[in-house]
Parts: sequence; C-alpha cells; structure tokens
Amino acid sequence: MNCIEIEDISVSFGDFDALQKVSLQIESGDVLMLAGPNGAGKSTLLHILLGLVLPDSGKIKVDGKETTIDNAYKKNVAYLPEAVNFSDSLSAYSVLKFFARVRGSDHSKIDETLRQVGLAKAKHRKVHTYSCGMRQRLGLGVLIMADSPLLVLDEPTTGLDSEGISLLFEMLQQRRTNKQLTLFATHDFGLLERRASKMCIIQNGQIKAIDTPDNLRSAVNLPTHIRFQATAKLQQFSELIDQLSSTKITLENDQLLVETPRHNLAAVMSAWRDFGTDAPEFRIMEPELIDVYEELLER
Amino acid sequence: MIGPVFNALLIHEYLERVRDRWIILISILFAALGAGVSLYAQNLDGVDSIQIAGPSLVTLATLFVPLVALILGHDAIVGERERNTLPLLLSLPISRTELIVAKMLGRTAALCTSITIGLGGAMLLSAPDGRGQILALIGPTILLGIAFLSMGVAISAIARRVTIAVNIAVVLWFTFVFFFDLGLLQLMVITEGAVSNELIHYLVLANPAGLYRLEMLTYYNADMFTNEMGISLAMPSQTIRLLLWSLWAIMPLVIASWVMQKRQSFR
Repeated sequence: MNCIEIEDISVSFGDFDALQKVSLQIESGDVLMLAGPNGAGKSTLLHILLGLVLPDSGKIKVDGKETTIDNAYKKNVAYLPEAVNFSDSLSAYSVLKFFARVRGSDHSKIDETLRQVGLAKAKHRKVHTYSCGMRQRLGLGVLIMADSPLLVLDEPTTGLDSEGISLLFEMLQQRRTNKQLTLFATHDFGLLERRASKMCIIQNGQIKAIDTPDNLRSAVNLPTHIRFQATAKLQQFSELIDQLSSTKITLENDQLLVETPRHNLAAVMSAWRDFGTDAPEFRIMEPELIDVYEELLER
Repeated sequence: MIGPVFNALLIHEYLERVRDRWIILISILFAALGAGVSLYAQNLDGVDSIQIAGPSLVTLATLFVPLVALILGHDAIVGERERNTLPLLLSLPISRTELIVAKMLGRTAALCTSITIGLGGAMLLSAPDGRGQILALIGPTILLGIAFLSMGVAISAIARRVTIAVNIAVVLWFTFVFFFDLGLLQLMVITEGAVSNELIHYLVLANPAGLYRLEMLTYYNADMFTNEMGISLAMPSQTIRLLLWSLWAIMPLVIASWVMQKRQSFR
C-alpha cells in the first residue's frame, strides 16, 4: 500500500451533511494531520477509511485501483480510536496476545512492546484498572505490533503524559522514515505539527486547506515576529524597516520587536545584516499553527 | 468466513462468558435445583422417578435456559459499543456479519457449558436407569437456549444502551416464558373455545419455549396434563421442528446483521 486516494466522498446522516465531495490523497511517507472544529467531519473521514461509515457517493483508491473496504483491505490498516478501550476482563498482555493472534504477529514481541510502551510492570493487571493514559499507551502498543501499512489515529494524544507523547512522536517519525501511510485527527495540532508532513483543515464537511504546515503559514501570510537585540544603528535600521509594507517596529526594554509579513523576512534580515552586526542575537517567531488554522477557518 | 479474527474472537467470547459471574451463579443454581429434583424423584415410592424428574427438569429448563441465554446475548454488540471497543473490533479484518456470527458461536459454546453443568447436576443424582433420558434433554435444551441467545444478540444489535437491552431482554423473557401461555389460556377462556385447536397449536409452536415444552413433555409422555385440559397438541414432524428451531436460531441473527449493516455510528 503506497497511496490512498479519496475521491469526491460524500456522507450524510439524515439531514446533516457530514462530508461533501471530499477528495484527498495520502502518499508513501505521508503523516497527514486532520484538523477542524468539533463536528467538522474529521472522525467521519477516518471512519470511512476503516469501513465503519459507508459513504453515500465517491471512491476510495488504493495504489490507483478503486477498492472496497473488505477484509483484505483491512488487513493493511491499524486503528487507534479516541479514548481507546479494551475488554474489561483482559490484562495488557492478553490484549497484545489477542491482537497478535488476529494480525498473525510474532508473540515473542509482546514483552518487548510492553516494555517499549512502559507497561511491563502492569502487564498482568486487568485493563479496566488502567488510567486513560495507560490504555492509550496500550493502544500504541497494539499499533507498534501491527506495524500496518496504513495507520489511522483519532485524537492520539488523549490522556498521554509527556513520556507517552514522546512514544507517539517516535512512532510517527519512524513511520515517516519507513514510508508508511499515517492519518490522524487531532485538536493538539500545535503539539503534533512537527511530526506531520501535511495538514488538512476540514470545516462543515469540506476541506478548507491541505498542504505542509509551512506552506499553510505562507498561504495565510500572518505576520512573523523577529526579536533583535537593540542595535547602535537603530535609527538607520528603523528607517529601512519602515519602507517595508505592513511592518511594525517596537522597542521593548533592550529589544526590538519587528512584526512583518513572511514575504518581508528576507528584507528584514538583510537590513539587520547592514545595521545590526553589533548585536548579533535574534529570534524569529513564526505564526503559531493555531493562528494559521483560525485564519483559514475564517476565510 | 473463518479467519484469524473470527477464531480469536470466538475463543475470547467463550472464555469471557464462562467467567461471567452471573452465568456461573445461574448455572450453579440450575444444577443445584436439577440435582434436588432428581433426588426428590428418586426417593418417591411407587413411581418411575424419571416420570417426575423429566417434566420437572423441563419446567426448570424452560425458566432458566432462556434467562441464561438472554443474559449471554443481550450485551454482545451494545456492550462493546458502550465500552467503546466496537470501532476497534470492526476495524479488524472481520465483516459485521462475521462479528455477529463469531459472538453468537462463542456464546453458544458458553451456553452449552452452562446447560451441561445444569443438567449434569441432575443427571449425577438421578437413578442410573434414568440418566439416558436426562441426557436426551440436553440437545433440545441447547436448541431452546440458542433460540433465546439469538434473540439476545439481535437485541444487542438494535439497542443503543445496555440498560435498554436489559429491559427488552426481561420483557422478552416474561413474555415467552410466562405471559405467552397465560395469554393463550386467556384467549381460550374469553372466546369460550371459539378459537380453533389448530390455531392454538400454531400459536404454541410460535413460542420457542412452547415448542420445547411440547417436544419434551411428549418425550416424557407427560402431555396428559394438556390433554386433560382439553388441549390436544399434536407434535409436528421432525422436519417441521428442525425448521422451526432453525428459524428461531437464524432469523434474529439475520435481523442483527441487517441492523449492523445499516448502522453508521458505533459510538
């Protein structure tokens, strides 16, 4: 499985149009992050890829061929639902054993996986005694053992502590390196931004934007902030900066704060090279992804 | 249909159900009462103990087995849904119909265990020459259980909450085990016998508990009670009986599968 294409998928639940002619493509090595307000259609889109929701119209293609979500397709997919849960009577070890049997995975990896997700000491405890974060870690363990070509995650950070999040980061990075396909829906996009190769923003069942986080930043053109140490040639520097469109410069204590559109960044830095060499320290602050997201939603 | 997910789920369902404390409790109670009936019948003078024990066990089984079966079946799907484990299960390489069948088979195996324990208790304490006749009760009792288990699984696919499924199961149990026959008697009294014997016959057969009672009471030659009441219920042919049992076992599962195919939300 190297590529999945969703073409013109529409789904409605009664009068509510959950998705309207949605098309997107996930290619080898893509880690696609779905973002959008509650009820935008993120989970519905994930569920379509899992066969949990049947679309009213549209196609799903795997490696260019139209496909139905049958057992052969599902063998290549692993899923972590939001706030994952498992059968109350099972221990973590039994859960991994069950999924190993189901997936035909190697049973000898169970202990290693439990160590990896930090549940080795609690492996014989019943899952119903686990906290939400521990269940989520166990869910990650199931995914690690499955190592499926397509991974679908719904709010994967739910309940995870910093160690759990590091584990998730590592897994996403590994999948990117291995050229596997990953798709996840999240509200924590600031946290997961660096692990995603693309971001897709959904609103009212339609895709508002899809691109790399960097390109989305460029597209909305929100101001970038650059903090410099105050320079002796402040006057000259300010004059030069003032000539740039939509640029503001303020002096805060001993620091200069320049607010400018992204496309002016090169010109600002060039001015700094001319007049600020006596104070070489600076810090560029790109617009937060949440601001980019909100800006795109408002359009 | 049989793949690794199907097999793993079937085994998991069986192991989980036989460990269910309610199932264990009811099975033990059934076994204890069955054993009590056998002991009592054995100590009666001048009667063939199986003539007493057999029909009494049939009555016990008619009460307990539908209850065990409905308890086993009612949360098969809705329980997974309420625990938020259903989306994960359905994302595995298993179709919705296969999921229902795997759950049904796993729980049927648990039901067979429960019935074997229940009737086994009666068999152990019965007179040695009557054991064969109690053993003959196991097969039809399992069929009775499967009919109610299938209904339970259908309820679990239709209901959106476990509590709703429990309520429906309780209503079904009372309806089929108690009210159905009472309703038929009331119908005969109200209509002063205007309802034909044939119609009553068909109505009795429309209830799996009624079909079971009719089958087993005929087996133990205990249908004189109904004959004395002026109700002559002829035993349908074996083919018809098998057809009826098959319908009761399969139809609810078909409904459950249909409901699952139509369902678009599993949370």
